[in-house]
Amino acid sequence: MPASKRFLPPEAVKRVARLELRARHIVEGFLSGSHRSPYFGQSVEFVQHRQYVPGDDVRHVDWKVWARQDRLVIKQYEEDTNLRCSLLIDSSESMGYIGRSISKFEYASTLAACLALLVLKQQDAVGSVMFDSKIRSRVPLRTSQRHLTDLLTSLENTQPAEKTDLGNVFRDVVQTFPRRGLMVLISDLLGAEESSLKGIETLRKAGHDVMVLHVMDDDELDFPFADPTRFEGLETSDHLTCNPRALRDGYLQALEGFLDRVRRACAASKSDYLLVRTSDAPDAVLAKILNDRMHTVRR
Amino acid sequence: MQFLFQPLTWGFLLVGVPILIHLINMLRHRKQKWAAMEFLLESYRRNRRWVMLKQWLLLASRILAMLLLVAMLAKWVSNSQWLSWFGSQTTHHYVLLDDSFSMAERDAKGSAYARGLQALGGLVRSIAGQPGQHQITLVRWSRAALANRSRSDEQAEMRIDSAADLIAQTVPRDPARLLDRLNATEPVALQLDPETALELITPAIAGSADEKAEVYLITDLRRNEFGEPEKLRNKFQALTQSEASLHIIDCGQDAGVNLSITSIEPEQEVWAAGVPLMVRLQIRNQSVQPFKNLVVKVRTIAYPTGGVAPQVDQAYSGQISDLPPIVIEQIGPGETLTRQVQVIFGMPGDHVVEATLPDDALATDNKRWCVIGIRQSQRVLLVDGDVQQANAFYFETVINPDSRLRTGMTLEKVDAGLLRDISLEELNAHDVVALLDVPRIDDQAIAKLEDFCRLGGGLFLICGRNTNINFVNEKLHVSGQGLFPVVLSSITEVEAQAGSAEMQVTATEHPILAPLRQLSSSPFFLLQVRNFISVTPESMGRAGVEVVARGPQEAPLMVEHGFGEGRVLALLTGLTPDWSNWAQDPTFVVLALRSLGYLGSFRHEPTSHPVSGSIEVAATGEMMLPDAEILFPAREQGLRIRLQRRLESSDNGNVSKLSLGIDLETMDRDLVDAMLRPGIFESWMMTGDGENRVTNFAHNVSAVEGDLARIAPNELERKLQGIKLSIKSAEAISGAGLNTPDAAHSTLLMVVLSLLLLGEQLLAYSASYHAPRFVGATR
Repeated sequence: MPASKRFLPPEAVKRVARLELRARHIVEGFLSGSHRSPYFGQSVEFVQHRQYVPGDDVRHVDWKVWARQDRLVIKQYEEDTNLRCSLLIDSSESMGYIGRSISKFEYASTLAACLALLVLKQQDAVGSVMFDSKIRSRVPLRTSQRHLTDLLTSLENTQPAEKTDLGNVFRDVVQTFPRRGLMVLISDLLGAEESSLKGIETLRKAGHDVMVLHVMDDDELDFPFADPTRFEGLETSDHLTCNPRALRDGYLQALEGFLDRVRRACAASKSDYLLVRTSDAPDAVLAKILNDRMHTVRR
Repeated sequence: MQFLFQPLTWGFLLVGVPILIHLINMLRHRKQKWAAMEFLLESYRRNRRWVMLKQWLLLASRILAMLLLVAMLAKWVSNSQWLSWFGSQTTHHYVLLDDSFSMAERDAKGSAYARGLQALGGLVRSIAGQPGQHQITLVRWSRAALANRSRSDEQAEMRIDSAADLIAQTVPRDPARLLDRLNATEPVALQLDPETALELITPAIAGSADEKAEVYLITDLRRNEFGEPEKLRNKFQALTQSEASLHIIDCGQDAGVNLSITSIEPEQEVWAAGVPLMVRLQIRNQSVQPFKNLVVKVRTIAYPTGGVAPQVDQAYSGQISDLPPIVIEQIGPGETLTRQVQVIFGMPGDHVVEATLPDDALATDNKRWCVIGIRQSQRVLLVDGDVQQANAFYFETVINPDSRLRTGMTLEKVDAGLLRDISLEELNAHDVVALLDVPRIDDQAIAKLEDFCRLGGGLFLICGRNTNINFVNEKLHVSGQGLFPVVLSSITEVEAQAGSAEMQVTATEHPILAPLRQLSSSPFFLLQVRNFISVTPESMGRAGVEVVARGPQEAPLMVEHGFGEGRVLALLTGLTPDWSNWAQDPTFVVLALRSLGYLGSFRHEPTSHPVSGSIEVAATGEMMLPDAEILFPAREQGLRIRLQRRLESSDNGNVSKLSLGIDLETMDRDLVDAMLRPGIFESWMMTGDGENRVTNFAHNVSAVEGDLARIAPNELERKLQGIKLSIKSAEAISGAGLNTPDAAHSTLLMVVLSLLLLGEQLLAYSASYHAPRFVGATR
């Protein structure tokens, strides 16, 4: 199955076409687009006056103010810039878990593809980073429609492997993407918890708008196992033979604790967070994300 | 551990099923690659001990549930103390089993005793199935009666120890074993009553206040045992005061036809070799319908002295001869008929007469025996006061009429003066002493005669012209303490009445002359009394004085009374012609022979004993070998029990004694049963010359017990009104027992099992073995 069909289901494509991704925070972009920029530039929408300092472009001096008040001020306009959306996709071995339908990695890839399509449709730039304990592949930010093919190919060619280490990876990402933009992290966040949360914080500190799509399989969230089972770790050599029902409550309690800590960490760093089940329709997830952002972006 | 349904105990192997399932589950698991191991391991670390504990508890509860289920189905019974904590207090079941011989009454369904044992089986099984601790004491009425007979001042518990078949025994693990042992028992040939058995257990119940007592009487409810239940009421009241529950289990049936030989006795005549002897039989129809064409078989078993040897394989060691049977055309319900049969034994010895009735509902009382100690002859000592020995002449004529005729008596004549010098031993060698018109004897002779009579000898006093009335009254009557039965008054002369048809002499019912009363016409019509000595009316009122014949004006002519073990007979007229013509009358032969035979009969050993009587033989004046043996009656066919016994010798060695009585404490159970059989017990000794000496004992059943009339349960309840008791039929008890058969420990087990299963479910739920709700806990 071609990557476009695999990661972009027709229903999702139809729905994505009607969606629009807006950066909630001010990000830098190449093109003037529909997104606010942290830079004040040529725009129709006046924001404020600022005291002139030597070196400012004299073209922005408000001569009318100088004539009336005899002081030099610079007119500042809000600049619309094109979105720079980086898709950070976890391709560690834990993402290879297959529950009742598809693996978390495939689901994450689908989400990433849908997002990339959405961004490209808005003439914004999108790129991707596949990582586990380190960055495995990287697709640069482009606005070209053809760039989608590169992204899908990258997704297709990646197989889940190795452990997760978000801390290390995000330090590299910050250096790779020095300009601020939207960082969409699609991961199960399983691995070194502290490192993962620090990685997210690192992205935020670098000025990126961070959106965390926490992908979990239904099995991981519900733990529906009944028969005696030998659980073997995907990223570790641990194994446990047990009666799952006896450990279910303890497991769910531990999981809930973990999710709670992640939510709080994201909230603390003002990152968007959404827990996504692999059983949720990707387009519905995207719709929810964009809906949430529509209510919070414009101020 | 004990189960009513043993085969189901194989089900205990099912306890392996939970273990097996547990092991299979441990081995059979699927592999699952898992990403979120961290949380799983954390849950495992946190819950490991508790999960393990729950697992083991769950496994244990399932094993226990399986055990309880199988135990419940197999009907577990136990008498362990701890179970009584859950149930009631100890219940002591006292079973009193009627084994009197009426319980042997048979019908098409079997005997009453068999029904009683079946009821006992049902009872024991139901007791074994009841919760709580149970003890059982089983007493057969016969054992209670025997214990009571040998009763001393011992405590009641001690008596129960020796009498009870089971004493305070916990209900056995396998009731069948106990029942097999009881099934080997059978009714004994005794007449028994429930009072003795109740009396035996009453102190034990009163002394065990911490136990709950249940008393069961398994009986056939015969009227002769329960018809007048006043004594029974008292016993029951004593038990109810001890808070004992009373149950009567009726195993009897309506009486069938039963005939009994109630008596077999030889007449009190001369028991001598070669002399015909009449044996009297009494047959009673104990049923409520007449019986026609009854044939009574009679046979003699002769044991001639020195002529027989012990025969263990025969029913009798003696020589058996069949006599012509007695045929009775009809015997009405409740009627008792008396018949006589003549027997002759040619040789001295302890001979036996056996009478047998045809089979009927109750076989035990269809046979009866008597032992007749036949001697060579009866010795009579004649002391004639007449100078011409006229009185003795008449006796000699009667006793020795001809050399070919034998009356079985030997006469010796002595003078009155010799009585003073004769020793008591010599005197006791005679059976009868006849003082014929003796005017006077001295005091020493009187004393010897008194001793002679006290030891069973017979004294025949015949008055006459030499009789000294004062001497008789003072020395022989002695105000009623002496030998002479009455106080003489005066000589009465009877005037001759020519042509008078009135009888001067009449016989009374006394056995000496009673046979003459059966004749169609009086044999005394030729008898004339010319003189007789009248007696004072006051002395006739003395207890024990019987008139044998009356003379003119109904005056006593012949009187008799007992003296010690012997008898004294006084003829108040003389034999000489001037006093009466009796000596010339044919009736004198009867008078002389029967009087001497009667007087000599009181030295005879008893001809029969009741069943369970002791056997005692004493051999005097003859050296006996120290070992003797007793042959018991055989049960049916086969060998008789032979019991070896050592003789007890007197200090001087003149007397050798053999004795055997029932002793429950020392005697073997089978020997006790053998002692309780009716029939002939042969005791064999051997003289120093190697000659066998046999002494027979006839043990007969009580005729009363053969009355099979029953009392209806409602009538008994009415008579025992005020006593709380239940009466149930044996059939009802045999099937279901007295209580609910499901009682066992099933109820307790079911409760425990239910609680355990509930706990198991909770535990399983707690251990997350129930299907999860599959609702996402986290969204």
